[in-house]
Amino acid sequence: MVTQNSNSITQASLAEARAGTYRLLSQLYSHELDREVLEFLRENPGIISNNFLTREQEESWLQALRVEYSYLFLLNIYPYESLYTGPEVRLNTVETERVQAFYEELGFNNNSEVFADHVAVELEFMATLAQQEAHYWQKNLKVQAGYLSGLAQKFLQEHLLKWLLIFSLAVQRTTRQAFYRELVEETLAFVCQDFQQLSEGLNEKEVAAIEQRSITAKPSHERSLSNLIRYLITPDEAGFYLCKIEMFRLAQAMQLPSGVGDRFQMLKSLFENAAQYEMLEKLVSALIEIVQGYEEDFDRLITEFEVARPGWQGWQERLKATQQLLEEVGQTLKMTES
Amino acid sequence: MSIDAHKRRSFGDFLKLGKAFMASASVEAPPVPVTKPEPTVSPKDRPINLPPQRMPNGELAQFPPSDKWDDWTEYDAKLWPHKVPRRYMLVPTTCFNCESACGLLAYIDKDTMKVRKFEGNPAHPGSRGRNCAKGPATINQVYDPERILYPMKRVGPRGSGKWERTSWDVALEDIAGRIRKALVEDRKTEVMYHVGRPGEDGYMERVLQSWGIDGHNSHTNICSAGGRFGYAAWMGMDRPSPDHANARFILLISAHLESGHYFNPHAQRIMEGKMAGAKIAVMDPRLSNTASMADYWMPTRPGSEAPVLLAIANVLIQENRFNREFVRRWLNWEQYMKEEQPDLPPTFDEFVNLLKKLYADYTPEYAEHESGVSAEMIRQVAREVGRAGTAFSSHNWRAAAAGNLGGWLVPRCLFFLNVLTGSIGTEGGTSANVWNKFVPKPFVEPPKQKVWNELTWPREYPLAHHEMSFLLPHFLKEGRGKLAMYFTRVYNPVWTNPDGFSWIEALKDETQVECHAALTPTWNETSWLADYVLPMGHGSERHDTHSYETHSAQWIAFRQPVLRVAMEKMGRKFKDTREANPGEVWEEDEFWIELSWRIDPDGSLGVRQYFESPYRPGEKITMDEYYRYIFENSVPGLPEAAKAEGLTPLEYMRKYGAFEIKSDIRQPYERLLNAEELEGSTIDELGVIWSKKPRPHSTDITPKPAQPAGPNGTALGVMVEGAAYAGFPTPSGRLEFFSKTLKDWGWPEYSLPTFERSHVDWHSMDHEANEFTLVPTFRLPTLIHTRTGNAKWLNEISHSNPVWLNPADAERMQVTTNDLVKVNTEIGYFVAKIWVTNGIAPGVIACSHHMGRWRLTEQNGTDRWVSGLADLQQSDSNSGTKGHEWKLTQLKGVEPFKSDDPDSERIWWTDAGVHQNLTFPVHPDPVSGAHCWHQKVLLEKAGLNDRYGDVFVDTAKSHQVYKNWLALARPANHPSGLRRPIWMLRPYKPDPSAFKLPETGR
Repeated sequence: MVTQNSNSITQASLAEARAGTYRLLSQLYSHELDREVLEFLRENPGIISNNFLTREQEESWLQALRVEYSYLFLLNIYPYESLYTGPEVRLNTVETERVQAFYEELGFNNNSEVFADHVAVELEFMATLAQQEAHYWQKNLKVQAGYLSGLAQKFLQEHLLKWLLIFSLAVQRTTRQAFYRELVEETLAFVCQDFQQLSEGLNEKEVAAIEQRSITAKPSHERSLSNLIRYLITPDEAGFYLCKIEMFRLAQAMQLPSGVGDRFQMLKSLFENAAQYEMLEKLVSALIEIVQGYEEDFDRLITEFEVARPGWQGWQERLKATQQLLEEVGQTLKMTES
Repeated sequence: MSIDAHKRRSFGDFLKLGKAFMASASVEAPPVPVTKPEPTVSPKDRPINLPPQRMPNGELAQFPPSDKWDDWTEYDAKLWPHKVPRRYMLVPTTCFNCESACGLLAYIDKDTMKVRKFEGNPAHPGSRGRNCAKGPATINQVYDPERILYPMKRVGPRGSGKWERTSWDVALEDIAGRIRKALVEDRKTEVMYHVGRPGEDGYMERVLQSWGIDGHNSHTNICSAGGRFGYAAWMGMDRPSPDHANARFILLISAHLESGHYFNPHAQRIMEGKMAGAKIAVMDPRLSNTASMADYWMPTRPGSEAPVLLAIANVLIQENRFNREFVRRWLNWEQYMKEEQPDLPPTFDEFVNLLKKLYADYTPEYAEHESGVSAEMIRQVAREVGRAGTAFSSHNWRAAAAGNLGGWLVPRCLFFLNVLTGSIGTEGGTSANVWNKFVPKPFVEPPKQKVWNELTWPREYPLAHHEMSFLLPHFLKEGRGKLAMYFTRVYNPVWTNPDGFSWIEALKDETQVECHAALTPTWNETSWLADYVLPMGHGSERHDTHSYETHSAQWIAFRQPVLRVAMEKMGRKFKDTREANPGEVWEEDEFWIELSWRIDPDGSLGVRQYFESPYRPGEKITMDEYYRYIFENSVPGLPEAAKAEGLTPLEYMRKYGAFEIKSDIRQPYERLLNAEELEGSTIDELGVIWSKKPRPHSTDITPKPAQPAGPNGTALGVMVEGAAYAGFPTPSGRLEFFSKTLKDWGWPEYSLPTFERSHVDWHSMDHEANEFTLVPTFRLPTLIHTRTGNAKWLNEISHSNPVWLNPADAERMQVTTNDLVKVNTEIGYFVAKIWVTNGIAPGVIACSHHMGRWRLTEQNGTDRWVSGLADLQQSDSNSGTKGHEWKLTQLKGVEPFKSDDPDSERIWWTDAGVHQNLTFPVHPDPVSGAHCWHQKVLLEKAGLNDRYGDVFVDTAKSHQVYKNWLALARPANHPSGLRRPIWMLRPYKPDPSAFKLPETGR
């Protein structure tokens, strides 16, 4: 007969609670906010600090949130890991397969209709891991439970935590609804805190053993416009995510026609139009401002979540390199003018 | 609500929330067990139990076990996830897509009697069940909607593209009549069989010799003649057989992990060697896939390989890192001292002192200056070679040997390193090909021909290692002869050879080439210029036997028409393979038997006897009988192995497709001769042992170098330090550091391993004026010359051949990737696109082989999977010569087309590549006779009127370049009135009487 000790009970309830938070967050990203979850949030204020509205206002608010969900996650900031960590800037790439492989190793089935590296699926996977961990704690199977918490730490380190930062910042810059701004910020905070507690007990070396790679600012040996644009729209290179609406806003601010098409097309026509109206310098400065905005947020977040520093430093370096590159471009433009 | 105004929640808050959420009604998901998921089972599945196949040690088998090959069930992979079982018969054959002849297993669907796929044959000792992409792609070739199914006869003028279907009878009667007439009228040099990839051993030699003609022609001198001659100068045997798997250091002057001779069998053994700790060095100006996997990439400037090798040799010699004992015992240093240094005492120490002096100038620093590879790396590699000792394997086949004037000196210098380390025939060393090859004797052999063909073996090139095939159009132009009957088989000289427009001119001339039959499975640029196009089977539709030196073993493999074999097993009888093949596609073996019978229907010419059954006198031999005799009588160990399984030798080969005769063959030259062998023998002044005693019967007819019989009989071996050894088949019985043959035949300056400045030597290039060396020879792992044009998968993978250009050169020239450039050669130009890459050394450009296929009409000609539609114009040249200017314009690239194969409408690629070989003049090396492929070119940006794929050539200029190179030859030296040294190899070697020049009267 296995006797449970009090530590196991505490651990079990901790894991259980973590599972709940992950699952709740997963649901908030997997589809629009529905009334059922709203009821829960109303009864358990915490994830968002909104003062709730009257029933009448609530319906139109929910409607606005549905629109915002599409606006954000279906039109502008696709919540898939492969877009942020891979060189291809496409969905369902080798990065997706790596995530899938992680799941398969543990027999986790992605039953949703989205790719394995959707933020909701990754969060649900974390929930599943935590829930199973709780199950082991309840049975006092410490080794198994420890194994699962180790895997959870590894998954955060190799996947979710790595890209959640940039995704979260992009959403914060883009959204028009406080709900989603807070959601991404709280998600990031929770994941960081969870990573922190999972990493306790691991030595520093293990925590820091995060893939580092050298950052190059040069788009490639050929400095063509196409290469510059490809660089700027590739988060894995540029260090930030430039979404369509951001480009649209840039164009509007400069009173330029905004292009249509994919991000590459849009940014290309933005550059071409800026050149036509001799506003290239202005465009480059605006881009530098965006980069600086990201850099400021980075500085703040890295200070707050020291534990994520090793994994995030690469982003910071990328941003610095991008700023430098854009400044060089700006300089070249000035020289050409004079 | 701003971010700043928002107060961060604590972890505890989150946990409270989570706890509440888990407890709330909205959580429906039950705990997901973290275990492996069960595979979902589709209701469509028919219940069938296919247990995994295991090997005796319990591991999962990678192949179906051979006892189930006659009836094998597995799920149809294309219908996954539904589990639909299919029943197959597995019949082995060999791949025909390169020279390696790897084993294939044809999966024949028993319900439809169609081949559904090809996989590897685990019973094949060379490939061991592993194949490259080209093997499984055989299925594309079998079901290619563009393939030729019936014999075709030209109806318009030659080359006009007008054809009609004809019958095999009509073609055979016409061709047999022409050959019979030539034989009767003693025009035995007017029938020529010109083969690209033979894909067989011994069969055609027997056919042509039975006709009494000297009619064999090959592709070898545009390929390996330089490589071969370098090895032959050392040991007579002309190919290396490295034991990569056991080597400690591997030096490659070729790209054996991706192409090269015996690519797949060698690549897997190089990997084994590397996994066991061997290091690899690759000498190549291009970062090939092989170089990218090497420990040392040595990007030598083209033509500077020999100095680097000599510098390595020099380090080994000066630092005393060479194998003194081996060198003392096996080099012909005594002969060298006597002949060349008569004033010095003929001692080994003196020779070593001399050796140190001879190569002292080849310092790593000198080699760095010549090659661009750092002296430091050269030293490191030299020390690695020295450390590897007898486990040093090396290989050069085409690459530098096929690129440069004096290219044959590259393998000569490379093998020098094996000689110095004593790594010849050792474990992990490099053997001679004939030690690892076995050609079994057929039931009766015709006598050697007593005639010599000067169209293939002209007097200017007495040492040419193979036929001067690529000069044929120029020889015909000069009136050196004509051809009454010309066969091309798996050969596309108009596309593959240099100077293709001269080939078109020659092949169009019906007075020079009276009849041309192309034996081919598919249309190509050359068959377009034939009178008959005769469809022949692919690798799974024909019989052949072959044996190649893939590793330290001897094996034979059996290619078979798999559907015929499968149906015969099920009881059906066939008259010939045509009945089992698609349309009226035939196989060569049966074709030559039938043709020979028709040449000599009553047996009066003495031809027919060689094609009569050994089992049914006077009747036509069948394939079963031909191969039954060989397998029962000429393959040691095969009858016993077959008996152990209750099979006849033929049944055994039909079942397994391959047989290993011997393995781990080491240093046969070290075999001590026994007293019985030595009885009554004599020893000459070089120590060579001669014997008049008849040799024991051997069923291995692999061509080997051999000194001609003299008054003391034939050479048996050699005395080394007082003992009688088998030795090497050279005039000295040893490895020839000093080649008296080269000295006697007019090339004394090359009698020792040395180097010659290439025609593309970098000193002669004005790099600033954009003069470059073009490396046009490299192959891709997924294609093979023009033979894979009909494999859709392979063309989907590779269909573009841009010009590789170093970024530094690109910057100077202000060009970037995809920009069009005009590449000017001595005789014309081609227009191609640029690929800027660090994978090529500065000053060198490279363009891959295979691409740039074309056809002249919308519907017919070269396969549409691979070819662009082109316009070809011939006009008078500015210099006034008639019709010598040729312009090929690509009208459109590859595009989708309608056919029985729905994939043909899904073609998404458009690039057909650029045909560069047309713009290369012939460059015959005056010693080896090899074409020197590298080109000195002038690169410029394309002009406004230049279009991608444009090719322009003036053939009057190309004839002039031919004459310039011909002038380098030294035809006057024919010692003893011979056409060439008898002891050296010559394919389809004639009777010794044919070697005598007629004017000497000897």
